[in-house]
Amino acid sequence: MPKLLFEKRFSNSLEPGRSKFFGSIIMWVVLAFFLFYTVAPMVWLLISSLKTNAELIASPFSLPEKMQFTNYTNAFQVSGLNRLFLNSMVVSLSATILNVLIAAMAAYVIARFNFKFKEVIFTIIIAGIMVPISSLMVPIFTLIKTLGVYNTRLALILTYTGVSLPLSLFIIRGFINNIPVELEEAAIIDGCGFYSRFFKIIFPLAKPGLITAATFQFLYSWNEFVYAMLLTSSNSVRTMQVGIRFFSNQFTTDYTSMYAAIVISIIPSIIGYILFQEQIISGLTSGAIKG
Amino acid sequence: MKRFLSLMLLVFVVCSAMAVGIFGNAGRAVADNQTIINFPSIWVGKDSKAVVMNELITKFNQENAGKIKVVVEEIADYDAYEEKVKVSIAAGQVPDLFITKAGAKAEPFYKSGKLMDLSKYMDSAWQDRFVPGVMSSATYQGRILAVPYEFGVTPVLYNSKLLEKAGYTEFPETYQDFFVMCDKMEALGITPMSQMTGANAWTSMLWYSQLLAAIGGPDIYERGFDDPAYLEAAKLIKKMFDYTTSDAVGATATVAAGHFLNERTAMLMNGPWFIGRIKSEGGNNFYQNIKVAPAPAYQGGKGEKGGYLGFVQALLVAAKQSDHNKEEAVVKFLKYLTEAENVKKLSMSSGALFVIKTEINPGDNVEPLQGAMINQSSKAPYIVPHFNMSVKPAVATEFPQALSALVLGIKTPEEFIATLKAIDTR
Amino acid sequence: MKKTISSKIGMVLFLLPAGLFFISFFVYPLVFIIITSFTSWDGLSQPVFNSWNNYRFVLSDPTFKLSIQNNIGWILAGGFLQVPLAVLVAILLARKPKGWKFLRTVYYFPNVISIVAMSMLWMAVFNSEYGILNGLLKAVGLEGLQQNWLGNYFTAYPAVVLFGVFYIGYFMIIILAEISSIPETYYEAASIDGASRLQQELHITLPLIRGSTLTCMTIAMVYGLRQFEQTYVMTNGGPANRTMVLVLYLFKKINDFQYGVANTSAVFLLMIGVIIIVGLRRLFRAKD
Repeated sequence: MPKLLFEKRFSNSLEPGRSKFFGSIIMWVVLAFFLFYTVAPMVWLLISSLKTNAELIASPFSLPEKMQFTNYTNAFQVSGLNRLFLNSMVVSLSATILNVLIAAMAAYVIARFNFKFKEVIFTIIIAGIMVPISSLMVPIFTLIKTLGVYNTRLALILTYTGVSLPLSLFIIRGFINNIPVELEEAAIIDGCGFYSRFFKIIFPLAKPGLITAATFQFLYSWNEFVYAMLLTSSNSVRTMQVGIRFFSNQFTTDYTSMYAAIVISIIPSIIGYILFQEQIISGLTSGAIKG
Repeated sequence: MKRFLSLMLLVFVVCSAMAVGIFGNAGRAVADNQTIINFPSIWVGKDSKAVVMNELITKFNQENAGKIKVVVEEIADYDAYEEKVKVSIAAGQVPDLFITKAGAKAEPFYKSGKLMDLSKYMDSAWQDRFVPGVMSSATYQGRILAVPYEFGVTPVLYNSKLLEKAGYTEFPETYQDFFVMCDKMEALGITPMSQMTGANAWTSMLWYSQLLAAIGGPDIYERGFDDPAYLEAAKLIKKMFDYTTSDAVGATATVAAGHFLNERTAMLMNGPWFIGRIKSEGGNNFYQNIKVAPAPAYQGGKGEKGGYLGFVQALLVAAKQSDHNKEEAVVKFLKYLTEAENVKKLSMSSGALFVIKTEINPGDNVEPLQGAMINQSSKAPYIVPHFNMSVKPAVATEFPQALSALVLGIKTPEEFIATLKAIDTR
Repeated sequence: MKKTISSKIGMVLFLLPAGLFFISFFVYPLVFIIITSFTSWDGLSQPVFNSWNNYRFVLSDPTFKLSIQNNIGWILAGGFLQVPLAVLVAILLARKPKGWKFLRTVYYFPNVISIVAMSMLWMAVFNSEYGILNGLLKAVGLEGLQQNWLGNYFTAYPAVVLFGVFYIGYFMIIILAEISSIPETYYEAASIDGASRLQQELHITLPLIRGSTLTCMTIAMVYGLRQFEQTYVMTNGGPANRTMVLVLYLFKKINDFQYGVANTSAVFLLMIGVIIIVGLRRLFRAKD
């Protein structure tokens, strides 16, 4: 094993070598278990997406006799996946940016200033996290119709931005709370106003929080189905998740094509996540927060 | 401040730029006097009727170009479809035209007073297109509020190869003989039938309906849960779970059908829509071995030999319209969909059955299993709907839960009936 | 922080968008839900006021009680099994063992697969005819333990709840981010004082990641309360309502044209949510 950070960190440990050895065995067992547990479903999904439905039903855990790439062409043809994919991108990205921006602005005020009923208001908003969103279908449908945005991508963007605002607010406020107030106080002396403090100090320093919230928000928007179906009626504005359900009909479900569509749908999430993840880490190691 | 304003400006520009793309096709201009009919449909995607249905609608739109346009909203997933229709109506927006199941599922729509009254359009010429007696499913308080459309029958589908192993070349005609056959199959290591309690317990619910009709006769649903037939049928459905796969409790339709398709069970109860899967997903020569039969009769029961389970599977219902032109347009489209020629195309291509009379010519290539179902149902002494559509929706929802409790021995057959009855009377 | 006039305007401007969204997507819908919870409404005809009838009904419904009980189980599993596991793995990865970056990425992947697909996989795993869990038990000579896992009254609920507990990616990432922000010097000082590795984790790491742990526990519990798709796909609440949860209960009521009752159960859901949120905030503040 190369000379790693933790060896330096714990080099003065009084633990004898033997228990350290057992400790690392246990550690690797734990890590390996979680590795298998998380990789297995991905592999299963990928393999299943290359089988015929008959094979899948006959033996869900076997390998396909012949790779069925037609499932993938099916996924693109039947549901017009290209268009839906693009819509999902537009909707999810817009909803994420809008949601995180709005949540960060509100979180800043709540974390940093005192005003009447602040705690009560904050608790009420946070309680919004617990609202079972899918039970609000009727009023939200009415709202979207009233706003005149039914059957547009905007309907989904507004809805996704709105319904996960409490969660984003909660996450971001937690991170802003951790930023030392002294930094801002110093900035005030330097003549920084309200807005520049927010954009110059809070925004960059709360980046891990913003990205955490953005990750949740993006995945929620990307995977949401109930409202995607409810608030749109034409395929030109619908999203991937609706497309995935095209394979499930009243009497039959084409599982393998559906799995192919799912595989296609998770690729951007994975790429996006890998990209964002580096952001989180670089945000953390940039040093400012270590005080 | 300057920085903030410029940032806000940027956000505004980005947002408005996106909004152009975001708004999509909302507010697209429509031809002045063209009537738009919104039609959320489940017959889309990979549904067996999707292709021909799409052709029919395209043709209708062409024929009425500039006057009427039917705009289909595609919702393949059935649960999502029901949910969306209900939520739209709850929010005060009734789709111009939509599909619903019949019986208890349709009743709340009828009651709501939000549907178009088709009575005055349903002249004898139009009514003549339908098979006799079917209009009752569309009538509420003397008014015709729906157009009956798709028809379903659910006989026993059986694997004749496996039955022959147990010494049966014909399907048993009584339940007594039926259970003897099941015992013989078990002895040979063959699992007799697919049963399930997952989702809506579809296959098992159909079996229960068959038992009810066989024991209590065709008018069983009118007599309520106090009729002893319900209890007797409960005992027998519990017994049937002794002859099924180990995963039956909690199994979904996919699992139950999968066992049958892979010859892990010898019998499955399902309808004509399943024929396509027998062909495409069954193993080698599987399709050749599959036969259909009416469910057995019950000795001493009020039912008769050859009785069939059949029901209106889909009704077309339209929203009440204030605009008379639009009302006429919707009726025109409904009449178009029920033209014998169009229905025949749909039926021939999908294997689905309809309640509209169609002529089958000698040259027509009728699918043999579908043909057998048509033949048997036309000879049937009576046709009874299934349990789910004949009881309150809440009872149908509870049925799978009560059934699994019965099978697991958590509830006695008496308690099973008491549970359903309690929900029914609530 | 001091409030100048310009910052007062800023505060209002900053709170305004969130406020508007909150009113549109929460206040208005919730008022609607609460009002209709006092009516008998099939969702189609006019609602009819029926006082506390729906409340009385759900409270006397054994399935509703079972749902609450089950949801509490979900909440506890999320908050007190899933999150602690996430903390454990985060602490292990924070030591930067070989391949930790790879593991960090891979552990997260299941969270991007749709719950529906994941549930279908686990249904197949638990199946008694061809499932691999029974296969595994047979392979190690424990045939006696083979079950129809999702159809057995006693195993169905643990099976549905527990398989997801080990998907810790979400939470592990958040916690790991906070561990990485702990200054190295704290540990150096501790090890000079002779603290063992375990002691360091207990006395330095754990107290310092309290913030993100609270965040994770809150989210995990929220998911526990709101969860629905897994149960819907895998068991539909069965067998014999054993796995029923509140949101599924609510959905079934909508399906049965009982919007009044459905909205009543939504009100209960909300109340439980508030109790959890307030409770958690108290709990963590008390430790400060």
